[in-house]
Amino acid sequence: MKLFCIALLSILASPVWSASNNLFRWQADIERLAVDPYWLALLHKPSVKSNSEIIDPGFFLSGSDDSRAELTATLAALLAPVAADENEHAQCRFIARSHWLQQQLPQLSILLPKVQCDLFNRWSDHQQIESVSAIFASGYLGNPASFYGHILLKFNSSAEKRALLQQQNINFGAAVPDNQNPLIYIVKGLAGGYNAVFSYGDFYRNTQTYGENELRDLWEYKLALTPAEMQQLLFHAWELIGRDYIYYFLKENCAYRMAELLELVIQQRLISKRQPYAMPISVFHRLAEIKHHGRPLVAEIIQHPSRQKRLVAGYQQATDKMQQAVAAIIVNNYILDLEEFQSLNTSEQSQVLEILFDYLEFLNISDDSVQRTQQKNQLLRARLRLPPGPQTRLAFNDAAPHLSTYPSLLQVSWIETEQKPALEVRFRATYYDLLTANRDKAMFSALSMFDLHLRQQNNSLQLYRFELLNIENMNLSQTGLPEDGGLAWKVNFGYAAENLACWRCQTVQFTGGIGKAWQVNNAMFYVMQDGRLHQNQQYSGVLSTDSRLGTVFELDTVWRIQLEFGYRAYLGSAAENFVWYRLQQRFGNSQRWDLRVAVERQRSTEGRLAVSYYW
Amino acid sequence: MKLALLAVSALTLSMVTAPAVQAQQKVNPWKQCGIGAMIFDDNGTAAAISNVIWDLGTTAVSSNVSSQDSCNGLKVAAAEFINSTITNIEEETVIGEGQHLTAMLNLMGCEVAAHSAIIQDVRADLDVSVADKSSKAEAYYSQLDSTITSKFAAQCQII
Repeated sequence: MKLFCIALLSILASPVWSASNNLFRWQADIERLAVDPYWLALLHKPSVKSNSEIIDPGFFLSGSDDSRAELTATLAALLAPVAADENEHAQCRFIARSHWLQQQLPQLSILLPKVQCDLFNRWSDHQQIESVSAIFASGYLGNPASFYGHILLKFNSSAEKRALLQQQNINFGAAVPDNQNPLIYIVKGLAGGYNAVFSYGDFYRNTQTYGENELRDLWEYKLALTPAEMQQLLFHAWELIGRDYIYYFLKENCAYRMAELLELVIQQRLISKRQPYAMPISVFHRLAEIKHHGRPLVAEIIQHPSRQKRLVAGYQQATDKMQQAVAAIIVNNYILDLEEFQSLNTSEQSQVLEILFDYLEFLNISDDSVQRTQQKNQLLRARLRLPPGPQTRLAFNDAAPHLSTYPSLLQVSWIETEQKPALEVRFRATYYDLLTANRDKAMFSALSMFDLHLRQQNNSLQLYRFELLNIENMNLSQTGLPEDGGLAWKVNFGYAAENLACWRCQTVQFTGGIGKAWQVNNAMFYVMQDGRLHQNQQYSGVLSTDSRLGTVFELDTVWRIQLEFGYRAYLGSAAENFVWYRLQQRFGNSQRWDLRVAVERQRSTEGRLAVSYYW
Repeated sequence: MKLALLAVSALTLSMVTAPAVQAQQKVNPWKQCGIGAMIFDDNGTAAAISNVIWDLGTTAVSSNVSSQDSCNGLKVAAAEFINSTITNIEEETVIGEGQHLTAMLNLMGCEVAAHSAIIQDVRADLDVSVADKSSKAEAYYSQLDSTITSKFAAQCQII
């Protein structure tokens, strides 16, 4: 009997019994909390009945994503005794869950075993986070997945020994094997063929990858969050690191997941769940619109300029004499014993050398040669001979990304043709064309996807034009220095009419073009040679070329014009070659709308008046 | 006797603390830790690698989450930083200031008040004749480490 009593007392006193007992006591709370929207958000379940978007079994303590089972398992794990490695305890691994459940069940914190989460504390700098920033990495035409930019989160520590480049940031990206075939990469990216995870690292890895290697600006949007919200975000970010999601290039991508993470604390929608695609820039448009606790959510915007941006700013802000010295040194194979350089004072010489550092590193992106390293070493030695500091302070006055025109377009056009007038409705999922307002003036480029034109004419509705992809990169020189700027290029894949004289003569077409463009003040001039591969239509054959000569210029920020002349030649067919032209104008510089007027001739002439709405 | 006891105590203490200190001081991150190969960039592969490491347990990749021994110490984090950003570090060293230098010296555990003097010291002996980036980084790290060890040990304590 004595033995039985001792055994019973041992069981009652054991942690297992105690945990079960507490779970029993919280039964009613568990039922309520299991369907709480915040709990579902922590599990990444859109609703109670849907599956979690996290596919990693390690994220679920119950072995399933059932919200009630997971809540019970989480409570049991939080109350479980501490093993040898405290970091493995649920209180450390699921710190956001633990924190929230302690708020919901006040007795819980009294019952929890004491745990020291060293790994989390070091990662979070003992939670000395003074602010959180969303970072926008500007678009990059070198990789299809980067056309539309990228988004990161940065936790800004107040610790004295955590400088900007050491700040902790988290990234969401697909796990893509090295040297993946580009076609497979695109197909798998679109079809959910890759897993994706949140990873972390110091901010310098991003400044190197984006700013130095891919020449993309990083824009930091510092958010006005309360300390409690920052803590919430930090806790949940920690839970998510390394957990697998399925990656979809169009929607469940970095923009979607980062927005979802921020929505947890902002409690406002940052991205549309219904829209079939998600873009990083949309998150920043939205962040800039939101009022949080009665004040703007974005407290400060900081530009971290790319190497190219620093080169251009350094060169443009230098005096004429310094610019001449830069040009002379480049032309003379980096010999510094030149009148142009020696006549400058020490400070000017120092500034010239800094511009040349940027110039050589800018060129190194495309061709990292031994000769260039030796030239750079020569310049470094010259700078060592001058007295130290200070670095040249450059001014950057670029407009922040959220001030650009919104990315999606709905346009209605009235069209006068040589036959009958037509009404056209156009939807373009993304992003900008050569006439779009509020873009970096130096860019003069076009990037659009899923551009659909439906035309009502002769009492019938017709798919008149569809462009899956259109990119025109003018690759302009921004300094005029040798090798700054390169060949202009174009890629277009779509379904379009052969010319304006025919009504139902659409063909599937693939166009590639190459040429050269020059910028003079607010105008850009170009010559391009396009090659077109298309279906045979009215004896057109399958191959044709367009030789184009054009200009895009801005008379004012509210008025931009494109004028283009071309000669279409059909190769290996009886179709008649012809000269064509196009004049397009954009009026207005709102982020939300513009007015377009165009005249175009391709065997037949049509005029167009269009009203555009952007969102 | 008192002196002998003191000597024994000091010897015992040095035996207890020596391995960790030696691991910090003598490790060459390039030769012993495969610096370069272990550096993560921000593409998907990096994410995959960090995932694997996470799932293996509590060994993490970021500098401050590393353990204090051998290839996981803070000095190796500094070496990784130098290896990744040597181009900027070299430029800022010849100029005499910059944000990469600040971060580098923070990672080396150096007090902010000592940064300027350390930079001047490194600048005075900087060799800019090395041809490739990895060798530049290794040479720079070696010079910085010996400068700190010989002249700024008190102001630069890896903790």
